[in-house]
Amino acid sequence: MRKKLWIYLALLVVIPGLIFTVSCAKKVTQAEPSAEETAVEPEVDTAARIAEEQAAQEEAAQQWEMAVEEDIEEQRQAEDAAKEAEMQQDMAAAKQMFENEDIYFDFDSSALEMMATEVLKRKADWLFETADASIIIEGHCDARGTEAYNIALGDRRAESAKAFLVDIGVDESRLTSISYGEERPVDPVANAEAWAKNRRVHFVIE
Amino acid sequence: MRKLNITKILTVVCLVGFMAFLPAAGAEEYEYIDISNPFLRKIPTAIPRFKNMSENKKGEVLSVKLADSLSKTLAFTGYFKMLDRGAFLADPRNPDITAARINFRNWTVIGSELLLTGGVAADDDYIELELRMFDTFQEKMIIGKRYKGRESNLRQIIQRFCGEVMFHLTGTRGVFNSRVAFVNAEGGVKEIFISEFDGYNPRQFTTDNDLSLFPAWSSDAKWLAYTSYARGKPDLYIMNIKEKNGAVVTRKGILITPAWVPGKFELAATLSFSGDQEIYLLTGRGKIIKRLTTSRGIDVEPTWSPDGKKMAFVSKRSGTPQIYIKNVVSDRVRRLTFEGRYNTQPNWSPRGHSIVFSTMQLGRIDIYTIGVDGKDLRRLTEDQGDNEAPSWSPDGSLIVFSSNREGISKIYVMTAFGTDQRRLISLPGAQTSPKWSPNITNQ
Amino acid sequence: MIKRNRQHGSSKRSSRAVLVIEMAHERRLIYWAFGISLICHLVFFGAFLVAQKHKPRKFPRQSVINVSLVATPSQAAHSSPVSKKTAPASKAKISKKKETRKKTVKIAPKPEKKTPVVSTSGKPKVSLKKKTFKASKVKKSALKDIEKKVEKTSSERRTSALDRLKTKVEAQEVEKRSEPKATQAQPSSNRAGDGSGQGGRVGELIDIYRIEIAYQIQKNWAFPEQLAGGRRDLQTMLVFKIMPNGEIRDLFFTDRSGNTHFDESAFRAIMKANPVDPHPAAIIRPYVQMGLRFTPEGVK
Repeated sequence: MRKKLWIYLALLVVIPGLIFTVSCAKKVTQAEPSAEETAVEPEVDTAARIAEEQAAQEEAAQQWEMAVEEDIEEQRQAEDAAKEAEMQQDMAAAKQMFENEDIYFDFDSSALEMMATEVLKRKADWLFETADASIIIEGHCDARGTEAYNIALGDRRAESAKAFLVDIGVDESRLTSISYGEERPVDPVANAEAWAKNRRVHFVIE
Repeated sequence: MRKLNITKILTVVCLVGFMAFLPAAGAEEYEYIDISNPFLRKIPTAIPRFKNMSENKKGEVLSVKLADSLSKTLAFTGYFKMLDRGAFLADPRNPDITAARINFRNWTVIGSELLLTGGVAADDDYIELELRMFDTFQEKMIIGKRYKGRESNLRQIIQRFCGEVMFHLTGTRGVFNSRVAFVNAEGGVKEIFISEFDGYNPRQFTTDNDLSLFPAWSSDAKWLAYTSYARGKPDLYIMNIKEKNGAVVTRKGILITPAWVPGKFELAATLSFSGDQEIYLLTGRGKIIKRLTTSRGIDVEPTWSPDGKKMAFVSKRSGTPQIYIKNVVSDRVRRLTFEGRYNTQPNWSPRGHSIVFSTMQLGRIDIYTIGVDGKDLRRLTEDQGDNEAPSWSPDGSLIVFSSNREGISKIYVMTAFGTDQRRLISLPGAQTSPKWSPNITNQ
Repeated sequence: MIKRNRQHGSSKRSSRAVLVIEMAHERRLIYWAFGISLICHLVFFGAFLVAQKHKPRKFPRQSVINVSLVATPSQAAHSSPVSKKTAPASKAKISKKKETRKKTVKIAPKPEKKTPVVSTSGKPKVSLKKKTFKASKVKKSALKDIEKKVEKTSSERRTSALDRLKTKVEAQEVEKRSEPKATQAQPSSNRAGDGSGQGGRVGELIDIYRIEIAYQIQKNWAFPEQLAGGRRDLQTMLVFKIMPNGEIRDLFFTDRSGNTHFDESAFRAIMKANPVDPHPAAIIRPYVQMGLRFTPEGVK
């Protein structure tokens, strides 16, 4: 009984091991690095098959590639351009989103709330993607309270946003903080709604 | 004989005993009714039109103009109730200006306790002024001065005489040699302006076309420190007022709320380069001497005691902004304000005994004074919009502040007791953050 | 016109002078007077030592405030501004009454017996005055309470106590009524000329008159708070006589604050009010003496 169990266990380890090595070897030849390597183990067979088919197709294509060389080149350029535009659009959108999305605070508080940390994580993602960008973190307050204290409070708000980003791994040298206190409200109306909008940290890409 | 002796001895004993207890008992001999509430909190004062001693048109015009100017300047202090000239019994056409000629009954009857008279003689170039102050009940002259100057000096002459009047009453020369710096906001730009003590002649001081905030006078009134965003972030500017040059102190973070140490070329200000808003002591050139606060959290708005040994400031160390006092000699810190959840903008009285500050309660900001010992909290403003940024006059008798009681924020002035609240500056736009200068000695 | 005679300065000195003159006249009487006075002093100051908590200065003030609150309805409207600051004390009045009632009962019996004899001497007045002071006041509060009896029917025990008190007070008043007869010829005595020696109603009338005059003077008092230099302990005391026609005479300081402006302001207030209202018809007196204590406490 016990021996049998051991054999099964051994098989359980060995067989997937074998399968794994096989599929890996094939994949390398395909030169198609996949991020899902480990995740697709159970579908190794189909993946391998598709890869083989692709290889065959490529072989066939090579036979008449000379004839259509120029066409493809044009097409590629057009595609690239489109992609570029699309990417730029995406980037601009991301950038815009980055600059438009503020984080908000409670009255007389510089503590980051859940919502704010979510937003800050997105900011960090964008900063990782856009490695060359530096940003200014602006701390703002609502009109309530007094001027000087609010500049200090805005400074704290900007600092706490900055500290969070640095903690996530954003290089500190890319971040500059500045406090405007209550000097630059987005909504100068004196009501709770406007005050809530004004108690914010705003991000500007340099 | 023996009986007499006893009588004598007894008499002596009793007399001695009586005398010994006199100081305590003497005052109790009468039944006293208490009066503890002056009906009028000002001195009823009469200033009749001046005597025209030159008998020319110019003198005629000046005799009224200068009397009005004297009346207005003195009334500014809040000490005087100027009596209506219409009620005067003395002949207005030919005022008597010397003690020998004045019929003091004319003045005591209308309730005037002080009488100020003037004589003016004007020629083409110079104006001579004789100014006197009389105690109408004692029927004697208290002050008598003669001045000579050009027409352009008249304001100054009147102010100097008012200084004499205040010196007699209070022992200080009042506020007549002081100025007020304030922030004027127009279209998102804030510039610092400086006017005379009574709001006269406001002139623009900064021209950064950005945000300039928190003006602070050095105790010789020669330097003005302030925060400006001219370089994109709140930096500290320390400027010589006359020469308009000085230092710009820039560091990471904010540099705000400067406050000069009395009698020194040093100032405290809040810097946040460490990531925490702390108060530092700087030289007049902007070099850090030492750190004055050490608690984590916001520490702003330092203000110095007149002897420069203590500093009041705002700290959030207890969770809400409150005012604390630090003894810079012993390094001990104690909390001053306990009422309310938002006490900021402290300003230490040049008389030393109290601190004026603002409290926010239910979204409204009002001005209070509190004794340096934490006792004697008094409310000075109420039900008149937000009242902020109080600053003492150099003699500690008046307080300048900003208020939005008429809509947009303007500069107002009141007595140290909250009475006589009136507008100081009449400029378009919004004005905030007034700071009263020390008295300016002749430079 | 009234000459300013602050130079009289210390009333103490002048009263001492009077004392010496009297001595020459009536040695025997003085002998007794001093003897009893000494005892009274000992008792009085002994009492001080025992009851240190009773601040001697505070005492007359409290009582006076109390007096100012007892105005006849017609005068109430007038004199209310006087007690503007003291108005919140109305509640405390009742408790104060109780307090004084107790005190009278305690202190009164002893000096009572001696007072008729001593009345001419200046010294015992310190203690005597204290007593009479209370007496008139207690009486007034008692009367007032009786007026309110209808409202206070619930506490019958209390009213009966008040009745008892009233008779007691009246007895004291009667005793004192005999006193001015003996002293009227000697106006040098402080108390002789003024009202509290008179019968109950007139005494009260004089007190009301005094309060009315105090109000008239208060209306003339001008003092800028800034001149107090932040001090609230200033106190200046003046004494003067009001002639039947309302003229103020013999005004002098009995205590000065040390702040010239403050002292002057008080002096001017009285001078400005002069002449005040003449005596009411019911007061038949050569003059009414009164003292005023000015303090800046009301200055907010």
